[in-house]
Amino acid sequence: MSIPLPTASFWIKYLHPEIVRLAEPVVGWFYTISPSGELSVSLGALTILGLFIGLMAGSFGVGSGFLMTPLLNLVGNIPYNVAIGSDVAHMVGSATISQMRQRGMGYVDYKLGLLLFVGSVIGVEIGVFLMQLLKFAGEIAVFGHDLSLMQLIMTLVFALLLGWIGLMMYRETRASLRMATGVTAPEEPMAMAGSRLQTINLPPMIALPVSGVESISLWLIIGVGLASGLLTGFLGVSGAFIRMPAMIYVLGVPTVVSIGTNLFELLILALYATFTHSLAGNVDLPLVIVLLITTTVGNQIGVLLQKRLVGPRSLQVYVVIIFVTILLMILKFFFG
Amino acid sequence: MDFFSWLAKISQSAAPPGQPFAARWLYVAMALVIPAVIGAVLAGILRVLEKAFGIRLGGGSV
Repeated sequence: MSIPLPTASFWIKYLHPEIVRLAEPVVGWFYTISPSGELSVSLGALTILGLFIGLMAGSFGVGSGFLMTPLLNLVGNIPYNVAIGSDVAHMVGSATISQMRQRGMGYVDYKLGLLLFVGSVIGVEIGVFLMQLLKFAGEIAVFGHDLSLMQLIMTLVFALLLGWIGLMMYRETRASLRMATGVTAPEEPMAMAGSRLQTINLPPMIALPVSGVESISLWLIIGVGLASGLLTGFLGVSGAFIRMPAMIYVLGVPTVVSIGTNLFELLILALYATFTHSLAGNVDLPLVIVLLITTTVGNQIGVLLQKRLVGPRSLQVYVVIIFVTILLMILKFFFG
Repeated sequence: MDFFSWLAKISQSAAPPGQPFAARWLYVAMALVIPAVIGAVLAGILRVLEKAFGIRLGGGSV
């Protein structure tokens, strides 16, 4: 059974007008593009993808948003702008679930959350603007083939991002294995950089009483919000892997406050980014529904299996998955 | 399938063919409302399952 994706179909027809002139449908492993340019993706493949992404997030405790977008492009041939916009809209649902489930489990510094949001709005706007530029940038000739510039740039960006995350995780698993044998870990680079950034006294300086921060430059908070907003707007990831350590190490927010504030910020950021992406026509509503339900189910399975699955060795499996995804992205790019 | 047909209908661009996408207000509103409502329903279901089976489940996949 296949599910038609209306917004993805619009962009396929708009960006590749030659497709609607084909006499035969384009048939991939998990998708079909009809001669009229309508994209349908296998519901089974999308379900397995959502369950897998949710399972990864639930069992390893790391957000898998950075895997979602390239895998949607790989499996369903969904244009990057639609994969990103739909991933962001899916985040609204996921953040709603997390907000409702973890209410009362962490303190929320609303002042900090709203100031972060100010920076995030700027970041989201820049991110969506960059995506719009890429969308209408046309094609480029590479090795004699005409390739979409958006596909080229996004493949490169996601390959680099996944490569960096994969390397960080590999280092973490190695450090965990070494610690198990009695070798102590060095101080985290993020903590060292954070201590240096905290000394910036660029006015205006503000206090965050809920977080116990007496004085911090407003520009640092805006900067953290901008960075995470840019990641959300441009790549469709939650940005929590930047925001959480930045709140703790750069802004000096206690962990218990950072958890609640991160969820609050995530919800309003996802709502704003979805609004902006939907105005640009990047959100595919049927895709969002399927992803939201399947990733949530996968997440629960991951949580239930967590104790059996998680350990330095299984994290290495996660690293392998990341590098296999990069390899598949490169293969798709060159061989279609 | 009627619901998905309706989603497809509101997802159509308001601009003439060949022009860049022009969003309908209902499409933008539903992009915000649908995931939030489904998220709230799923959170409720998870709560019921936890009480019924005495297990601890997770949150959203973020």
